[in-house]
Amino acid sequence: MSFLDLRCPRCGQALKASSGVRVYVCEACGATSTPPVSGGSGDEKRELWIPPRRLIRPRQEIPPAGPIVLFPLWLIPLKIEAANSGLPERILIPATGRDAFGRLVESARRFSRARACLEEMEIEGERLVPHPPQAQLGVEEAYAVAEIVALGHVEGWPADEEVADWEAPLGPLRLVDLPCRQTSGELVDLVFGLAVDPSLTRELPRVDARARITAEGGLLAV
Amino acid sequence: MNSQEPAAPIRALSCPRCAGALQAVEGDSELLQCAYCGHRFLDEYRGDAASYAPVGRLGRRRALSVLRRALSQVSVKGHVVEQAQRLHLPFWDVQAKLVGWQRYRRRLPATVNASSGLPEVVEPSQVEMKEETFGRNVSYSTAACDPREYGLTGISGRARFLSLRPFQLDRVPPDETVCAVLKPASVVLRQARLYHAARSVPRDARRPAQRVMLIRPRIRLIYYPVWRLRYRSMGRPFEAIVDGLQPHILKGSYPVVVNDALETWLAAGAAAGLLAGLSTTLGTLGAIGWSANRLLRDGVQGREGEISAWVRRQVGGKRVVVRTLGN
Repeated sequence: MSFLDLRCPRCGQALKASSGVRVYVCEACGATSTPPVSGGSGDEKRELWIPPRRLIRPRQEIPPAGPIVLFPLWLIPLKIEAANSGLPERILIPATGRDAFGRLVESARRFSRARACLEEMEIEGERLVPHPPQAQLGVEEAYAVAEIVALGHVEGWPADEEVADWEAPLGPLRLVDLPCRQTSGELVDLVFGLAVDPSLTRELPRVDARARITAEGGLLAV
Repeated sequence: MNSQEPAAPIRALSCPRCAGALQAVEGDSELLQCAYCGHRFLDEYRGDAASYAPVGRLGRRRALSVLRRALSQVSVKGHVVEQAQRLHLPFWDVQAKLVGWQRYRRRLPATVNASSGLPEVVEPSQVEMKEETFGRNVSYSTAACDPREYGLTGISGRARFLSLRPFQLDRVPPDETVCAVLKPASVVLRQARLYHAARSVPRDARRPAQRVMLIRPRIRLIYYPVWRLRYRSMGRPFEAIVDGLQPHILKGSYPVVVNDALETWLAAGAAAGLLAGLSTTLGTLGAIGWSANRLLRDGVQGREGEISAWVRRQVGGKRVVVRTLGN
């Protein structure tokens, strides 16, 4: 039996791991970490993995008042050969809403179908103050949802007999934070303009990240 | 009488940092916290599996009393227990998140005509294409040995209600037996995935195409206790298996005395009558009675026929046969 030590792989600080959370943020250094993909021989030392985490620059006007909340998503690029199959360039999966699976897949489809250029701000997740939020979906779940989103993206493809052995053309994933404005409890993202399903944001801390976004240059020129 | 043996000292999973006891955090079956230093760990499956055993097991005395009561209910008077041995039967228990996508065709359901109130006729060719996604926590339990030998088929119905403690094989007393694990964990994980994949498809689905994944599976062994009691009654050896948690017999046998005097009398009467030629009627009746009594044994050796049961009560006689104890 193996235990994964919930300690920051960057600074060694014990992580505040609450129930259902699989993406941890170190309170000391702000590093994001998550359990690695399961498997292996069982002999090698295992520790939490630090995924790349970037902030997405808003494309819509930042409202003058009200908090700007960061909504974490897993971004999984699709390999180049997928371009001709009608699949999107990348799949975006909300990293929250573990217990609302149907809504999670539906939201992942909406975000993946939305067309907008994503510009990642020149700021790593751990440099964000206040720190970006913790999240619920780990790497394995993110890849599993990404497969499902890719499977349902093109109607009737792949063929029934190919589904069982079909290999989803998924690339290495990273975590991105989508800035959202909060209007009467509902979050609307400032990149695609999509409303975030409330069932996905129940556990999301509503920490205002306005200062950091405006300090980094704020709005992306549309 | 103490119905349960004193709880064994809990040898909890120990904290890798301070060796304190690790306890599950409420609401998250993967998350463990050290009761001493408070550090948290994530439980993960990496080809190995932890072993657990239920708490609140029946002790030897309670198992013997279960047998005694069961035997008294079937009117067995006098038995001597020669061996009482606790066995630990391994069962695999898998918990995981099942995530899947499926597409299938289904014949359109009949609709009711609003004006006539009668069901509309649906052509066999009228099918709808359905696409579904699903994600839910699932569990799967299967035997790791052959428990039918001990009257158990599985513990899936009771696994979720069991209170478990870590089970250390090297600390099992020498007079107890731990049955070997015969089914590998990799096979169990595949079975679990196939089982839940099959359950996800509706019965009337046609040509289903499916993609099902088990996310972060955690697999453990639960050693379920049973008592094997070997006893002697009426000079013969018998065996009973008592559930190690609940006071009832899982499997066993016991002796019972039956009467065969009627058969002997009928056969003797028939033979004597026919051979002596004194009465063909007596001979024929005897032969019919003997045959009927044999037929009423249901073709099973040792079963008592209804006629002989009636006559046994009238005449009396002795023969020991073996019957099944318990369910």
